Amino acid sequence: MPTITADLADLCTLMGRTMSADELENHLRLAKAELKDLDESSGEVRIELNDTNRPDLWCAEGVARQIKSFLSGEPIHYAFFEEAQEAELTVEVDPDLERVRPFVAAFGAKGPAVTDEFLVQMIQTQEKLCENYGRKRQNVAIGIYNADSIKFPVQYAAAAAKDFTFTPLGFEEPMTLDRIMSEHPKGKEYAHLVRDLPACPILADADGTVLSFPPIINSRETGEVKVGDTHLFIEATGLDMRQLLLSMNIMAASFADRGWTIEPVKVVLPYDSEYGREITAPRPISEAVAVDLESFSAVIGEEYDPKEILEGLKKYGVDATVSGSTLTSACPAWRDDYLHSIDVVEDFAISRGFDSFEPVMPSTFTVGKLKPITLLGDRIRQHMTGFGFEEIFSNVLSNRETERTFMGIPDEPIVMIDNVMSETYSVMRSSVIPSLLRVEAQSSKALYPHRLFEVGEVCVPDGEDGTGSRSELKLAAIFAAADSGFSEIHTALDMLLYYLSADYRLKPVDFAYYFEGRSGEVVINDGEAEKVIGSIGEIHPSVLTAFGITMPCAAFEITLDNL
Amino acid sequence: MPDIDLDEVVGGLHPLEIRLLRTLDGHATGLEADIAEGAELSPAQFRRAAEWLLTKGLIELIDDSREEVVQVTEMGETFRGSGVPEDRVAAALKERGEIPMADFAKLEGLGREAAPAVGTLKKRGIVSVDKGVARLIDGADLSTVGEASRVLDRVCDGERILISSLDGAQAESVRAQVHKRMRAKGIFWIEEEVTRTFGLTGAAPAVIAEIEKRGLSGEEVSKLTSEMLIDGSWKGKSFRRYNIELAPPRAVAAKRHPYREFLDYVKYKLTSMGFEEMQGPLVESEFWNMDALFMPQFHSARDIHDAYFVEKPTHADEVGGAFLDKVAASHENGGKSGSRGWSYEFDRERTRRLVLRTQGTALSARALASNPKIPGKYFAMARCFRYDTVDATHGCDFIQCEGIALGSEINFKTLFGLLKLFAHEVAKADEVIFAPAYFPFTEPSVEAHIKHPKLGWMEMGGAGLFRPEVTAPFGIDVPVIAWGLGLDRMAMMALGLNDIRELFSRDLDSLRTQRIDMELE
Repeated sequence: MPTITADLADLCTLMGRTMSADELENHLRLAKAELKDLDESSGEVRIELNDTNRPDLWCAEGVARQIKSFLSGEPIHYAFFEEAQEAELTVEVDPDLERVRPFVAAFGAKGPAVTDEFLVQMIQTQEKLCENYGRKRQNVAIGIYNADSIKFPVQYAAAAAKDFTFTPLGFEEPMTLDRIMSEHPKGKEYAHLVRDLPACPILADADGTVLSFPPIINSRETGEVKVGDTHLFIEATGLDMRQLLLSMNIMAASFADRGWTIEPVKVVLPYDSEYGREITAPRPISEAVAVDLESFSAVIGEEYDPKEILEGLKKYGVDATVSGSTLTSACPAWRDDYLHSIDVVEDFAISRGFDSFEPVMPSTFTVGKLKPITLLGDRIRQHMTGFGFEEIFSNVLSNRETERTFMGIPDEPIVMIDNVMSETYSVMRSSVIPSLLRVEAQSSKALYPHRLFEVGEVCVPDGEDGTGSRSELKLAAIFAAADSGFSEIHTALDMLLYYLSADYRLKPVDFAYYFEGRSGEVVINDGEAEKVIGSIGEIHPSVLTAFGITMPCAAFEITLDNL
Repeated sequence: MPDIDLDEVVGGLHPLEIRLLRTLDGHATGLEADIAEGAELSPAQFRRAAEWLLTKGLIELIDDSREEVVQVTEMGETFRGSGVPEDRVAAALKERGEIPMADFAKLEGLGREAAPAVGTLKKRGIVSVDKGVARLIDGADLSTVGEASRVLDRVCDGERILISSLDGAQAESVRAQVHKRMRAKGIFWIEEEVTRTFGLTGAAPAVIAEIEKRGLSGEEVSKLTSEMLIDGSWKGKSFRRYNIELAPPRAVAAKRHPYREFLDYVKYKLTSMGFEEMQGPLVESEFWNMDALFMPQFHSARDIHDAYFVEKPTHADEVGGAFLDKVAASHENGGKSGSRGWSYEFDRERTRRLVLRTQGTALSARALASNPKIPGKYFAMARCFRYDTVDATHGCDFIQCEGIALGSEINFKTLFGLLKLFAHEVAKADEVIFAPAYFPFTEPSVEAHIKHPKLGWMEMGGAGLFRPEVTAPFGIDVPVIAWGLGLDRMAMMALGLNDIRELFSRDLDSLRTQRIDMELE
């Protein structure tokens, strides 16, 4: 979830009202945001934004805009979103880019000089939109330039990686695009986004002066935005026109919130987009959403008249109209999160305030129930504690060494994780016995004897299953003591299966992890056929040694699903 | 004299203590062994009783002296009567003047002991060896020869000989034969004997007087036995009163795991509220884990948490059955849900990708697809896995408490009602605040913050109404609320833990001392 930093005084200026940190904290709920930190001396606040579908809120201007509507009870309007714009500035697109990085959207902004705080926010907005909303620049990469030195129309062109050269930001000499991708820090970080494309995208002005190599790096010549700049050019390139337009709308609204004038920019495409071939940004992108008025009361559980609903939505910054039993609403241009009419209902609910909804208990009768296997597991847990065993509860994630190497079965299959974070947690246990042995290995100082058991989930590799494995519930028990042997653990198993009314016998079988001649399979007869449900034996001394255990142990394990 | 409660002190005396006190009475002091004998106590019984009485301040240690007592080793006993090897070698040489080394072994009973004995005599300056022949050195001091053998015989006859009672030469010849670590077998060993003298303290006479007054002999019977009941002999016996305020011996209790005890409690609560349990596999497809929950495959809304992927097989054979097309449509264009969807091409390869279940909500999705009861309420205590660094606040796997409720009367306010009930029943919290939240699968979404009686304000969990894009593909046309409760912090609080990893501790000692601190209501 994105976290942004902002200046409390700057936020207050943007909201048009001073506000204490406590008040801000309450109002941040409107933006599904939380105040994480406040530096009293500098006034810097850290805000966590929980709505991953509201990138407009990932900047100070956006958060302030949401709160400002609420305070004033009115949606905020921007002329450039209200009516179609005539653009004087143009970006022309090379047909070859269709198979490279097809879309670009842009606008210009003129205004008071860029301040320190605005620069910080601008760069933060750019970064959140590119990294988070733009999937690490894959879908959206944004460039901001001083517009004074740019000669329009800007060209969005395809260039050959091995021939085309320019001087990237941070370097002193012209480099080929290939070299930038292999040597420049940003090149190394983002080269995978363009490396395999038939060409590289380049933004240059009408004179051929390179602006940038999106989505990688600006040119040294056009440089970066600086405090004091008064005329900027902002562009976004990517794979989806709608995402680019939303990004430009968010940034344009932010500039306008700081008193800047927006200069629309027209992009001329030689191929189609969902908005046609000539797209002027900023522009509204969302379709109107129709909401059945009934759904407000059905979803929330209380009755409203249409006027209340319209007022509630206005406070949330949303314009709507009512006709008959239908409300029609359009998402503000800097948002694109109305997928369904339910999203409009939520805006209204937030605007009303969740605390205003009196909790109601559902009155219908339902029967509470546990799964048969849970009931069986609980019964077994009671029996085992009754037999004097202490219950253990372990992680399901483990490692190959514990589950396979120590157990002397290195070649048996096991469910492994592909994207391992730490070797310690890299496989799913298929047996509970190693979990108990690990407890034993760490507990040699605890008063003996140790009678331990766990009824636990395991994941058993199974080629027959479409997912390659099946989840099971297993009971394992170990008895560790100076005089530990087969007999005591056998007694426990015998008692358990007696009380579970399971007709069983032990069939002598050798296992790698049990002592030869002192182990077997637990076989039950369910009246029709015999079925192996587990194993029992004295743990092999080599296994004990591998675990670092110096006390003899005997164990049994049965699969509850097979009982 | 310290102020003591006679009743309490006398009533709490153990029979061994009474016997010890009665034996000491009338003597100012007594040797440990004498008192023990007088009171007919074994050395161990004496030590226990003396220990207790010292603690109670009724007797005191007057003197604590240590003496060295000569004892004979097992080997030493074989020379009883015949003399130790050195003495016998010296005697033989005295008799014959000189003996070739080879002949010593023929001396009766000496055998292999002969050569070391000659060596010892050589060191003592009594014997010299030249060209394989041993001789007594002229003028050597033979006064000590035979001493060790004499002491040996006396000890073997049962005499208690203190080193301090021997004269210098005797003591020296005994010490020369003492078995010490890292040395060949010796003939003697020295036992350090502690002789303690005890006396009564000023508080004792009053206590003893009370003992006399009550006619306590210390012969009171401690245990009621089956025999006494059978033959009726308990009637004539005097039974000792116990001091029940003493700490009992430690024992190991076979019990449920404390964390599971906590989870069981929540489980009981939920079933008693009419929730039915859901279950599902630990290895899930992305379909059930995310796609069925309308989490877009290529969108930051999917980034709420990262999943562990399964190495082999990477994909399930097939997923979702008849629901696959409907879920795909939900993502692509909303399908029949009334939504515009996420507007992208649903990846039917990716949806089969196998992950370790990241959220219990996967089970709710499966429940929706399994012809759920309407109205119905379902819950799961689901083991979940997240791609995250394991630390004090993140376990490698953890238990999530998840559920849904569906029916025509379900709405946002009944969701609040249930969350409030959970807060009260599970967390004992009566103050709840509902804050707007975001989850890709619910709308509206809410986060419930509760005032936990011990932890203060904390997040209890997230919830909301399942989006139509989630329910429509499964043909569910009534509202469904979904919720997830965070139990970890409450469990840690109840168990007194600071590190989430300790919920699955492997240290038996700490598990044995953990207990659950929660109000049962």
